[in-house]
Amino acid sequence: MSPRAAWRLEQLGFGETYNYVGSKMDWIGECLPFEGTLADRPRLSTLAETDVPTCELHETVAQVRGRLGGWELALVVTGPARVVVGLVRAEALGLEDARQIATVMQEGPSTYRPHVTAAELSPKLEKRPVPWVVVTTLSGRLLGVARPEAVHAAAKADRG
Amino acid sequence: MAEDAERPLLELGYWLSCEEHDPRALVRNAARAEAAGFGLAGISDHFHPWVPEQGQSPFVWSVLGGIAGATERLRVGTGVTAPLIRVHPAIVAQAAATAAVMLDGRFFLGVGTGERLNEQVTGAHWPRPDVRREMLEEAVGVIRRLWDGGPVDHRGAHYTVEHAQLFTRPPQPPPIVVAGSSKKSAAMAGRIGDGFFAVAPSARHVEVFEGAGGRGKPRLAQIHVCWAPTEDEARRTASRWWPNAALRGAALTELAHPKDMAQVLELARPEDIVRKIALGPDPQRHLDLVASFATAGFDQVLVHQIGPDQEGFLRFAEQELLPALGGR
Repeated sequence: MSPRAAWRLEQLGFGETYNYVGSKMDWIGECLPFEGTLADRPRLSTLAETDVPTCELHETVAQVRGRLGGWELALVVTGPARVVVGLVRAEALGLEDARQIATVMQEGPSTYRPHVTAAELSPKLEKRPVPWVVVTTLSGRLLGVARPEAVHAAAKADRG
Repeated sequence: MAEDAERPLLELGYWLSCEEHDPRALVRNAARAEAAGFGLAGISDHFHPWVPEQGQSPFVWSVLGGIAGATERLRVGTGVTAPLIRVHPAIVAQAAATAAVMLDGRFFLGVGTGERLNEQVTGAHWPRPDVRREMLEEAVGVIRRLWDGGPVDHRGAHYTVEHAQLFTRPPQPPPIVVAGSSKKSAAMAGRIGDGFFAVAPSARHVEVFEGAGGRGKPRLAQIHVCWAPTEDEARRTASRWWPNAALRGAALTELAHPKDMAQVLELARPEDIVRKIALGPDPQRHLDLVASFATAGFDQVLVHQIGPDQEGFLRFAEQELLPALGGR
């Protein structure tokens, strides 16, 4: 409906009117600011931990092993522009030093968009439990990783 | 299972195959594995071997007593005990508590829903998988209550325990690792287990286990290899001693006797037997098989060397595999 709304606004005399073709979800999905009655609901955009260790396909196990630090979830494998291409489990970093990340990557992980609310996601995670939730923008860029327990806690708080 | 804070990212363990070796050889192999650098071992708990050719099947709890006396550091667990029908969970609780005392904190109890091959010998009905999962969940509860030390009275859907109390118990109860080969059993392992045990490199099953409560808990896997001086020799040895590698699903869980397995295996193609086995002297093949499980999220990989040449494999592991993984 946004093209119709833009045209109507122009008819009403608004000089600078833009039609955001990607839709409102695309705007929120890129973590851009928005207002409204639903703006304060807990979403993956705020629940995701953004300080996530990453690595790239061409690197070796020895090169990335030290990035784990105290991080107990998987490393995210990213490509150009931090687009998520896979995950590497910590266990795989116990393999031989020279082994390439490309050979130990879990391909095609499920990803979620930042506009998804905790209330929407929590029942899905109850039904299909996962150890972590990878959050990407609509363009596939890594935003962070949310812990299921954080999603459930936020959903509970949201319900009041 | 590794329970300490210094747990390595990935640990290689050694498999003691009760189906293939007599109990004295199993005890010797456990001591030799410890000397080779292994810190972890699993041991099968069967009444029968899979096929008559394998030729052995000692009572695992007696063998564990021998291993306790012959080793000092090796952590050992059953892979896996079915505390459902052949042995009542109260008796498994007592056997495991004794093993834990004998091994002085180095024991873990692996449990699963079993195979008819081992569990039907008392003539009891062999239930469907969903009933066996229910039975296992109840059995684990009974075992844990007995390990707590108090007198236990229990009247459940599948088991009755009356006036039972364990007087020989370790200071800390051993961990219970729950086997799973489906999403349902992986979820149950996350819910009731202290670890997960599997034989397939399924990342999805690990995810389900972790999502259901298992995050941070050990994930153990068993792999099959056959080291030999040549690949051809390894192929011949694996085909002779471990043809059951060709079987899947109900063929493994529903047949009653080793000769039934052998009859079904007459239909197997040679390539079906060795498809998932790392064969021969090239360490990379063995490490690639380990890697497939580490990629899926398993942090303790127990290597079963098929056939009689355990010493050849242990030398190979000592010189090639363990150093490649940083001595783990």
